[in-house]
Amino acid sequence: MMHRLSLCALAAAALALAGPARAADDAAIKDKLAACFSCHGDNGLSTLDGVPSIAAQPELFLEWQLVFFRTGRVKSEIMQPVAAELSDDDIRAIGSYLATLPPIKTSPPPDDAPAMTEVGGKLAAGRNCGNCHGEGFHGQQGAARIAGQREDVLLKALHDYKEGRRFGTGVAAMPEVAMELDDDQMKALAHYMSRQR
Amino acid sequence: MAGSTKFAGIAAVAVMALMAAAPAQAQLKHYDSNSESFWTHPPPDWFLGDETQQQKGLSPQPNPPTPATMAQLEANLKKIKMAPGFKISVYAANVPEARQMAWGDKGTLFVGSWFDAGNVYAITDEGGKKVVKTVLSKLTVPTGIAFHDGALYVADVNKIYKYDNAEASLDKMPAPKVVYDDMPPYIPHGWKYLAMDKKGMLYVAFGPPCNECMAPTSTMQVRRINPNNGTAEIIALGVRNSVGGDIDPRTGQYWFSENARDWISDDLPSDKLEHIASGVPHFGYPYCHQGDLPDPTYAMGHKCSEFVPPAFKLGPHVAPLGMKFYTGDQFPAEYKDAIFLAEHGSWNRHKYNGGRIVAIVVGPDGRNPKQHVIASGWIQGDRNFLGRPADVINAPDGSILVADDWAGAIYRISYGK
Repeated sequence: MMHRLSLCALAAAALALAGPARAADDAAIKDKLAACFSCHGDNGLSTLDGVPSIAAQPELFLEWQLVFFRTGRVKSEIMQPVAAELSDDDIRAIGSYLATLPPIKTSPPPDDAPAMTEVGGKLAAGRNCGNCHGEGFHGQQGAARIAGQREDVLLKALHDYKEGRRFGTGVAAMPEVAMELDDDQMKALAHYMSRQR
Repeated sequence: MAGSTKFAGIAAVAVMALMAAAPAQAQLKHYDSNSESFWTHPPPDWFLGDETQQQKGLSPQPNPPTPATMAQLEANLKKIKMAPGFKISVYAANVPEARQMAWGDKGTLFVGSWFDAGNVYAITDEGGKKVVKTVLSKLTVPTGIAFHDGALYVADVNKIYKYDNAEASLDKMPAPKVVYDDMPPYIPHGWKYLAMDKKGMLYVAFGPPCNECMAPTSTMQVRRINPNNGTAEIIALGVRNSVGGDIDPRTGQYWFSENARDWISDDLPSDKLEHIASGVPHFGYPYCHQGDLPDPTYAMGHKCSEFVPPAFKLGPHVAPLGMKFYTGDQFPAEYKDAIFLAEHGSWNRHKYNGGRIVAIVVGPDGRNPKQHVIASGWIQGDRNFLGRPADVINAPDGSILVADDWAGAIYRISYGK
C-alpha cells in the first residue's frame, strides 16, 4: 500500500514539475487526468487508504477543492504542488470531466457493523445531510457525493471539519454540523455513508 | 479580547413543532452560550433547522470556483436588460467572489471578497488596462472594506483591521492594527459591510447566527464604531442580516438594506430598506417582519405596531446587499441622491427573485419611495445565475460600478452617449 502511495505521489510531483499549464490543451489535460488516476484509482474510484474517490463528484465540488489546494486554504503535501500548476481552464476541464465518470456501482461488502449503520442512518436524517448533499447523498452543486465514498475518507473529513482544518463551501454548514458529533457518531455516519449507493 | 463572548448567557429559544391545522405546540429549547465553542460554531439547527415541506430542497448555491472569463462576461452582459439610456460594460474581470468596494485617495479600487476566496484585491489602471492584484489573502470572510485618510479598513468576522498607507503598499501591505474586536466570532451571518461617514465613523450590522431565533445579546443590531479609540454605540435594534448601507448625503442619516428571514414562503416576507430617522429604532426582528407580519413562532405576543416599519419593501427573497446614494451628475437629475442597490438574488424561493440593480428615489425624510429597475437579467430561468450583484459604488466620472461575487467581476453602468 505504501509503495503505491509513494508511486502516486511521485506521479503527482512529476506533474507539478511538468512546467506551466497550457490553457485547454486536450493532451495536457489527459496527462493531468492520468496523474489524478494514479492515486485516485482507475476512473476515479479509489482503492487507497486516505485517498477519496473523485468520480461522479459534482463539478463545482471538484473545482472548489482544486482551488482550495491551489490557494493553500486546504493543506495537502501532495495536492498543493499539483494544484499550484493548474490554470482556471485546467481546473474547469478536470472538474467537468471527472463529474461525468460513473459512480461506484458494486454493492457494499457484507455489513460487519449493522448497529453502526443504523445509528449513522438516523444521524444522517437528523442532521439534514440530504438538504445539501442531495437525496441519496449523490452530491449537488458544491456539496460532495458522499454516498459510496471511502469510510476512512469520510471519517477524516468529519474530523477535519470539526477540528478546523476544512471549512464549508458557500455556506458555513459542515463545521457547525461536525462540531456537535462525537467520535462514535462520526464513525457511524462514515460507516453508513460509505455503504450507500 | 474576544469581547462579545463576555455577553454570553443562556439563550432560550422556542422551537415550534409545525403541525398542520392544529395549534402549534411550543417547545422551549436551551442553548448554553457560555462556552467558547458555542460562539465559534453555533448549533447547526440555528440556521438549518427551519426547513419546511413547502420550501424543501432549496439551499444556497455556492459560487463558481473560478471567475468567469472576459468572453463569458461579455456574452452574459448581452443578456442584461438596461433601463433606457443606461449601458453596462465589464470594468474588470478575474476578481474572484468580489464583494464590497472602496476607493483609495489615489484612484485604486479596493475590493473585498466572499469566504471561499478570502482575499482583498486592488484594481489599478495601467494605461487604460485594469490590473487586479490580490493584496490580502487567507482571511476568513473579508466582505466589508472601507477607506479613509490613506488607510484601508477590512472587517473579517470578529475584527476590524486598519492598514495604514495602503495605496503605497500594494506590493506588500503593512501589518494591520486591530481597531475594533468586540464582535462575535461565529461565521453564519458573521460577514460584514462597512459604511463610513465623513468623520470616519464605521456603521456595522451584527446579524444573528441563525435564520430565525432569539439570538444572544450583542447581535441583531447596528453599531456606530469609532475606529480611532475602539468605542461603539448601538444605533438600531431588531435587525436581521444587513450587508449594505450608506449615509444620506442630504441628512447624514444612516440607511441600510436588510435580508428578511427564510422558510416562510416564496412570497413572504419582503426584504427591507431601513432608515434611522431618529433615536435608536427597533426594526422588529425576530418578532415582526416587513413591518406588518408577526413571526409565526417568535412574535410571542408582540404586535408589529411596536416596531419601526421599513422605509421600503424591496420584495421577497431579492437579497439586497450593497447600496450607495448616487452622488454623481452623469445620470438623469431624478437619480441625484437616489439609492442604488445591488440585489444578490434568492436561494430560498422556487423561482428566484432579484439579481438586479435598482434605484430607489426617496425623500430625505423617507417619503414617497419609488423603485426603478436599472439593470436586470442576472437570473435566467427559475434558478440559474449569470451573476450576482453584491455591491455598488459611485465612480469619479459619475458612472457606478457593480461588484459581482458569482462571476468574479466588476461592471460599469453609465448613462448617455
